[in-house]
Amino acid sequence: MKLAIAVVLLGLQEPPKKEEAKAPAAKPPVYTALVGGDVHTISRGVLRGATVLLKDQKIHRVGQALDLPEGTITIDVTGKRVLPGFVAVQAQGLALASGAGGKVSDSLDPFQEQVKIALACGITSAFIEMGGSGGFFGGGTPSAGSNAVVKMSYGALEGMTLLEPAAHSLQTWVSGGAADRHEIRQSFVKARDLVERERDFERRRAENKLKPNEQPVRAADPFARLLKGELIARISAPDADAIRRALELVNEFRFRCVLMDVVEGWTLPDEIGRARAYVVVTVRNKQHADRRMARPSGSSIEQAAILRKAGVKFAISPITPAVTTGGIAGRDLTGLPIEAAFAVRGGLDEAAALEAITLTAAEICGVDARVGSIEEGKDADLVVLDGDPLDYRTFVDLTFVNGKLLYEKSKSSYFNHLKGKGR
Amino acid sequence: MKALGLLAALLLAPGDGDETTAITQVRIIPVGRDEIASGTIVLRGGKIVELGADVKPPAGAALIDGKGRVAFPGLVHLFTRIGTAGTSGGGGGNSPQNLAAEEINPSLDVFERLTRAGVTVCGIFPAGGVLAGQGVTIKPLGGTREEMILDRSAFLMVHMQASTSAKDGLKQAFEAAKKAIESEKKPAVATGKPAEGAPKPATPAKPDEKTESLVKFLKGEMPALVAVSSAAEILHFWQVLEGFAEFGKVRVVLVAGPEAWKAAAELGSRKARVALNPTLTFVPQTRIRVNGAAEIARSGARLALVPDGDSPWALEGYLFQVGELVKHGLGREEALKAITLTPAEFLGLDKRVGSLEAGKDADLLLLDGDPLSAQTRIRRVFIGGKVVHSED
Repeated sequence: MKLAIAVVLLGLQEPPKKEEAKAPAAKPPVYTALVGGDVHTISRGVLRGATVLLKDQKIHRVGQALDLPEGTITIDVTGKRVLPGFVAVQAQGLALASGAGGKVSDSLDPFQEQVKIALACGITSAFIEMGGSGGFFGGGTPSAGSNAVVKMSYGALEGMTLLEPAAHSLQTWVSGGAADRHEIRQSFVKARDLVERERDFERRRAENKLKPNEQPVRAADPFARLLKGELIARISAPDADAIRRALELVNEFRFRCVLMDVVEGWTLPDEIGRARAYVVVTVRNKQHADRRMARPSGSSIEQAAILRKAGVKFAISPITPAVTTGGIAGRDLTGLPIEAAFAVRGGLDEAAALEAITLTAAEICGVDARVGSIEEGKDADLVVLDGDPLDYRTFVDLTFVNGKLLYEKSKSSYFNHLKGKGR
Repeated sequence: MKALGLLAALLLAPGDGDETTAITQVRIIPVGRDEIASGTIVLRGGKIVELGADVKPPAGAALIDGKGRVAFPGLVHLFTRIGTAGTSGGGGGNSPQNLAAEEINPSLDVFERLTRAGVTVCGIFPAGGVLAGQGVTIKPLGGTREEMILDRSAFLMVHMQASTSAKDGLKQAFEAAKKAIESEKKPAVATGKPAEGAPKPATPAKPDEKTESLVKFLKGEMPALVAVSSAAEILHFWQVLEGFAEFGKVRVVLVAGPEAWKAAAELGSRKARVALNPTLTFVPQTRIRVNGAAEIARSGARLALVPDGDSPWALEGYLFQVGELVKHGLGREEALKAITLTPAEFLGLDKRVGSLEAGKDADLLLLDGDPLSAQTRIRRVFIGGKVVHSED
């Protein structure tokens, strides 16, 4: 990074030709072009028969008539779909070597077989946690353990961690007692004060008005980081009660929050929208309405579509957020787009369904500046599909992470023999 | 009983140095150079004096008829706990000052197990936590510790784990060693006038007990054997070392588990030193065979093999297992090196042992067939020119 900046600065002072001659030691960039596919950029619609040009680990250019630099490795993907790699907002048992305490990034296993299977199913990034007790039904929200968003960079530890920590659990706000809620509120009040003092310190420093030997103020605890928007809170809130309770706290302290395992979100979409909370939807999580209640209750397959209309941002997650080889298609992370397809059955438009497993999922994970859409400058984490992304018959053909081709169906011991006879 | 007999033979042996032995008409597989279909090896003073097809036995030499026999270097077993008193070492935590040499119990009746299997040099590692201590190299002669030990501080032992505590512990230990090296480099007397309020220039602090071996490791004076049970742990260890990239001479031997082959590309590009058990494994979730040793050798990494445990069965079946690897695609030359010269090099002993060469220790085996054949028996084992095992 620093080198690049230095080169740019040099470039400002000298004619560009000299600058090029000055850096002979740098490795020449590797260009790879995926040519002729339908490119689902997610952020800017679909480009038919377009080219995605990768430069080393990044997306360099996207367009329909690109000049390719000399020596570009060209991969013909005519008739195929090119998408950003899917992002799993929660994943269990993925990419970890051990459950030991400490940082996730120190315990990653880039050679884990599930990482390879995740790639085969189009997942390139996932939120994982370690060491904490589980949330709703043993999964979902982190509590006390550590968490991170990691890439499925099979075989490479370098460039695997995208963000650590990525979230902070406020589960006890919903599931705990009055004492827990008091503690959380007190922590926010204290953190709010600390953040204000930190801002004041930074402002006076910028204006050179610090007292001699004044100690800097650092607001670095999780609550302060939540208030500063550096972390997102995760709260498992399946029913309307839990959702309301969570929103109460969000509205009081204005922090980024994602409601996990949401079932009854469709009954109060506007309240969620006004609080600007994110939602994680499991489309096929069925729950019967409670007939003793006057208000609407239970699950609805239309939840995602309803939230969309209310302007709520949501990600889609499968019933079992794990990578297994034993599940029924679409029940776990091996069929993430299928879970999204069920939201389409509930009235969601297809583009929004894809956004929920790519860009919005990345936003909820706090990594949308790097991944989640096909845009110039973003990480080259891509999938090439052999058909409609939401069709149950579609296979992943190729998966790229950090510009590296890490999965090829034609060479996979899991999927190579499956020829897609249903079409 | 046999051990006693051997001991007696050793005690009765005439003074070292003068006795000359010549093994004649023997097929020689020297390792690292071409085979000799029939030649003579001359041993004197515990060393190989000369060998070759045209070498004549010196006058007065005791002659051993090597007809029908194959001479091969003694095997080097670089990673074992055999012959140590128990399993307890330094307990958990980092204790690089612990010496495996202190754990050796020479009266244990296990050294014969090694020589019977053709092992003439071994590296014994200390038990313990992540930074377990220092390994010792020995010749499995029995007798006293002093007679057996080649190097009391032969290597640093690291039991790698993919965890924050393991990685931070290692970083801290290396950091301390780095500081010690930097303070060594600084002249004891400051040249300019000392800066205001600066601590007065201390005499270069001698690294403490715990740091000493790490200093040697960073300077490249002592290798580290790093036990990595998974391929991921290899990457995590390299990540720790990255912070100390200025020490370009560090020597790391990865004592790897069965899935190390998954990292073959990386191991090859770094020309890593890898030690493996001679076992075949599977592609995960399949019954597709993988020859990890062959994959790693093919990648360009340096390969040593280690017997698959310390049981008599593991030791005596070792050469046959190595043969299986050759059957499944490991180069024969590569395999023969991987059980002799390469592990010797990993332990820093390749100037002394690991191949049959004039000037090297007279540690050799006389076999009645090809070393990797299942039908071959080890007929005689020499350590330092003396017969320590004989079936003739």
